Amino acid sequence: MYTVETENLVKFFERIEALRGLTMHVPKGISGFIGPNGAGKTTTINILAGLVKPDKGSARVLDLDVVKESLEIRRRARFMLENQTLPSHLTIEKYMKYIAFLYNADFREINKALKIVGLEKFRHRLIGSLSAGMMQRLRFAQTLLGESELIILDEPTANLDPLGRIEILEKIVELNKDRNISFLLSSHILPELEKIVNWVSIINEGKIVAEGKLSDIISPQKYSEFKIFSSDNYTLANLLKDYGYEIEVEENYILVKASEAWNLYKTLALLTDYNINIYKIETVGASLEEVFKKLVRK
Amino acid sequence: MKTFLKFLELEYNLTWKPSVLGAVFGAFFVLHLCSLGGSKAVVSTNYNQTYILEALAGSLYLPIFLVVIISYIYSKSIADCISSGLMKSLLSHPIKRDYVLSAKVVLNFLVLLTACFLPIFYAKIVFSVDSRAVTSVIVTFVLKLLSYSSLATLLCLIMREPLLSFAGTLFSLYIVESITDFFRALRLWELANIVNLNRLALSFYGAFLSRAPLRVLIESGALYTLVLYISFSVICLILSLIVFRRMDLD
Repeated sequence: MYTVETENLVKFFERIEALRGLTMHVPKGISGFIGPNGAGKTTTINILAGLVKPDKGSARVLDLDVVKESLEIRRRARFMLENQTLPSHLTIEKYMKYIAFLYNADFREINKALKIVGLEKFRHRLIGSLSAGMMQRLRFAQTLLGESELIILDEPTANLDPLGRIEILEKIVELNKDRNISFLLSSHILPELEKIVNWVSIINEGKIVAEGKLSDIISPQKYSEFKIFSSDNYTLANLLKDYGYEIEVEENYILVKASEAWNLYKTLALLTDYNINIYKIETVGASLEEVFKKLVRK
Repeated sequence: MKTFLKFLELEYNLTWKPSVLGAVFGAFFVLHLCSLGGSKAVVSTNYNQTYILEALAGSLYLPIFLVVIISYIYSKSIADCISSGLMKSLLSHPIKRDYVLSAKVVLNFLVLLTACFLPIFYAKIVFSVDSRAVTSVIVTFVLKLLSYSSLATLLCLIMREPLLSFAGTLFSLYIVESITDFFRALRLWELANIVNLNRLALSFYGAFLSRAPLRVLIESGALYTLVLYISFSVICLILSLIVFRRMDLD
């Protein structure tokens, strides 16, 4: 069973087509939902939360229809929306009590949740007086109340300092392991996301452009960069540049960007007349960020 | 029911800060007593119940104040809540949209009604006004607040932006308030009589004093006024629920 499943989702905001037949399948575990600004991530999450109705297509969360069974979805899943507004003149504790009530959660869980996000000392502070980072922690804390099967987080590490970001990501991994909660994370900070997700859905211009296991998404791109160690790096770099390759000359090697490994090998074969000894060719694994850039530029 | 009460409490915390509450109650009291103080009832030692009744209904003759306060409260409670993203935040939790909207409408209505009632009860105690007169005024207030609140709710949901909602609601309520004058200007006296909410208190009081109250209500046109404004309120509330259920909170 998929935790999130959409088929041909279409959503217009007046004349702007925010989603253009978005089809995605997210399995259990920790998944990433990435895309550039305006790609349709937040619209998709809003549809999953029942806040926005799709014009066409269907979506299911935990095998429940987002239009007909939205209330049940919000009972079983938690949503942390991007820049979610919280009532500024309530204290953290009072606000959390309301949220705990809505999820039938024990008030003792409030302490636990606040402790997890490091806000237990600030429980009597007014929400309006919190810093952007603390507010983000509170948004995360409210998703931890009650029993849930899935937590959907829109930019969970936004406004957090590097240490705070690591803390939250570690908590996500911990919660996934200990409580078997699945996560769908939308984030711009891809190197961080890459460390914890096992599934990725990449969205661009309202459509999914790539989806699958992180390893499957990255591996076809593995041969995008090559380190070439040769007897004359400088000359080789100039020759490859003439063939249209993008080159960076490092101290001991040159870094070549090539779309196909085979093409690079064929080019190197043509250069045998120049008496340059090629000692070693190393392939450089692409990062999620690089894959993302490539897919989005396409 | 428990959830609804909790939401009334949350709504109270969101919209009705003590300062707003104090300002509304204080303004109602002062304006009401001003109208009472200026009436013949207070200056005359042998006052007449009808004068007292008119004075009690004095707040009804302060349309601008009532229209402004309703426009402000509803635009803050509904439009501001939507445009600030707080509504979206609330509805990302397991709560029905109907609950949230109903809690807002019911709480605002009850607080405004209480603000209207307090000075009336105060006047009843001080001037020993006939209970039937007080009841007539209260029924009129309930009807007026109900119809204005339901229209304000619908308009705020349609406009969504707080300042626009405030201005739009103010303008629309002012039109409703002055519709009697409009029909009078067109010499449509019967129609003007039916849409005139402000004369309901006197008609009800007359009905209370009469042995055939229903006949008095029909002959004075008050029954039609009652039906007209209750229908208007119900239609506005149903439309509000439909608009809110279909609303995209993007």
